[in-house]
Amino acid sequence: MLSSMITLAAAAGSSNLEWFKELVNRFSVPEISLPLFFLPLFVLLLVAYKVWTRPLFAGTLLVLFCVFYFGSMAIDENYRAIVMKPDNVPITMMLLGVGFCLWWGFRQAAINDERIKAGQPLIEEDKDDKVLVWPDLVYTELICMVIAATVLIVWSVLLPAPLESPANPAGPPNPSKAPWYFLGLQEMLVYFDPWMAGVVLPGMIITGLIAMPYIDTNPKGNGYYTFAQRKFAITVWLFGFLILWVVLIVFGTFLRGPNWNFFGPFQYWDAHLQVPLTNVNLSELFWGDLLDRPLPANPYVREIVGIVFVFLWICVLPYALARTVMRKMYEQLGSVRFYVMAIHLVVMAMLPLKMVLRWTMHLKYFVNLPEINLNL
Amino acid sequence: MAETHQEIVKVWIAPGCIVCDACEGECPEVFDVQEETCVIRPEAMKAEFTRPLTPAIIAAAEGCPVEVIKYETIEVEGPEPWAGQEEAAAAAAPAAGGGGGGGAAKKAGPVIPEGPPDPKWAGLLSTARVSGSRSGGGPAVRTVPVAKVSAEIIASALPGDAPPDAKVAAMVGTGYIRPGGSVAQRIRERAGLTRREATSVAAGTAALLTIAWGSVAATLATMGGALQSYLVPKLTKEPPSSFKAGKISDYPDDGVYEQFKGSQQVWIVRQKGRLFALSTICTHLGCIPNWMAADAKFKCPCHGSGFYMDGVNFEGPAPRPLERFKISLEGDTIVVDKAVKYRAELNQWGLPGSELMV
Repeated sequence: MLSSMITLAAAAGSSNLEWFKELVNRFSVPEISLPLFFLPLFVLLLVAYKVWTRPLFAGTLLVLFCVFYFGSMAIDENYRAIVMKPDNVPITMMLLGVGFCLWWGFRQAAINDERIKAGQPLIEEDKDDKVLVWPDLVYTELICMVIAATVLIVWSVLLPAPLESPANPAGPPNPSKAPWYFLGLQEMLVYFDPWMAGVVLPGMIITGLIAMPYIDTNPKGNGYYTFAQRKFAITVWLFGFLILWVVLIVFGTFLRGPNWNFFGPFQYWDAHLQVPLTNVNLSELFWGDLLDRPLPANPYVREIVGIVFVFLWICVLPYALARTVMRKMYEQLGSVRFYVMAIHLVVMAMLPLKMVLRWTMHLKYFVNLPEINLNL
Repeated sequence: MAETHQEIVKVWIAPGCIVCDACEGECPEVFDVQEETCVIRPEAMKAEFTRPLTPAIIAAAEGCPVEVIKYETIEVEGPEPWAGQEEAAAAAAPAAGGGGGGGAAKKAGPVIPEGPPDPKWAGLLSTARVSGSRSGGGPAVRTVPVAKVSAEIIASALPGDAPPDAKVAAMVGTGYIRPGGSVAQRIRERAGLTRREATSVAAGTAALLTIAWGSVAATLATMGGALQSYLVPKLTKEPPSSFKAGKISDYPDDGVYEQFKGSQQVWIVRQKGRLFALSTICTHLGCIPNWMAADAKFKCPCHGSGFYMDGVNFEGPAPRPLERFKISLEGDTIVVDKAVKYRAELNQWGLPGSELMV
């Protein structure tokens, strides 16, 4: 019923919206959409948080998003196939859920920041949200349990599990996609060696999360929402979570097609699409393009530029930050806390750096030492 | 302002008693520790009864490990009537406790003060009596003659250096420390068993314990055996690393031949007069690329790595070329040995065995 209605609407709407689909397709490639759409959106989200979190404004944003997100299903069958695939239902839920949580947090922070400025008590001081374990908490948990079980049962009945034929080594699915929650990792793997993107970077996500309460000695924001008092912490956290995780999951879901090529959301997934992707290592750029010489035979001499760069980036950059722009923070945190934080920060920054260099300079690896299986 | 003091007019026990006997040790006139909980004795429900016992009740309430003893006090004019007793007891205690140390070590045990009983010791003695009567619940229980426990018995039961503090004395009173008799005997007495009965019970217990520990040992041994045969399997399936790949005439033209992709994970490639065997495992994360004949490249569906027909990586994240396997001729049959690999980045392509000239 629903799908037939969508098909009808599709027949009516598809004729004169080709320009729109083409525009979205062209705009959605990451080298355009990330710097021109997602990053400005991220900056706006932080800068204008007192504006967009107003209920009327946020409600309008939600309606616009839903019109674009769900309305597009009516005008394009490729996009419809992606959104309605049972695998991808959690993506829709994730987008709405992340949006709601962001709105909720920033709304509370906006109110609190206004109150702090006016010298009024915080929201959290006005209300006592302590509850009794029995019966309040136990009943709430019981009700949540029943609702969650119901939702899972109905979901599993309505949307069959996307089981496929037995694995066949001679013909893997194309594209081979990870589960939706790992698509961010899979996207990272496009830019790094599996040892880096599969072990080191996820490991540093985990060690960073573990270290956070020990690094963060700032008591502000404990037990109440605020953005004005915790700008650096919230900005770095949200950059990692929204841009380097959620947006990458969205890319992996909507934009990655056969052969892991980029496709627009309204583009047909052509397995034989020719995409020029030839990429080169930093050593080839340095010795070949810059010095116009053949690659040295010794691999360590060959990769010296990359090795020096990575050393500077990971070891010297935190020190430089401590001496210059982050001097105040260094004095507040002390050297151990600061360097733990700064090393995690520069490693995190390597991901967007590598992505930008891949798109602009077709850079494959800073250091490419397959002789000893070390690639950065 | 006239001197006043507090006297307890009501005492009760909140839920949560752990039946530890501590309160009964402090103030047996009021507290009666039963099997499941502790109750206030009926006669102690009256204020006239509890008021003189105020210090003992307070001591019991403070000594209660779960703090369930609650009481209500009133203010009474005049000095504390029991103040003198407390001081006397305090004075007596160090004198009695001196038995354990120094020059007085030769004494047999702590001296229990005689005469008008110190409230604490009186309490302890009655504890013993209460305890004795309490254990008379079951039909088979032998009556323990603790009712006759006197100060001398307690003193002789106590270890030589024991301080005459309430805990030790209470243990004497409740039968944990008793003159004469082994631990086993005391257990038998508690359970109301004769020596013969106790022996048979002990034998039964020993048999049960043997069965229980035997079962544990057998389970562990079985698990160990399973683990051992898991770690050292009796049968291993190791398919031969080499396979026969037909004749050279099976590969007449330049191109990628995929007939061994599914069964052996090998592509046989003929290119520019060379025949070589390429591994189908992507050097990035081990997915299996597809040969795209129209584009003349291998393309991985996982992260987009691309390889030319000769196996050299040129796009996507793959850090090195596909690996080659050893290829050789036995008569006119091509044999591919997957145990021997040739890696381009180690300059092994071009070595004998990495390719056949055709």
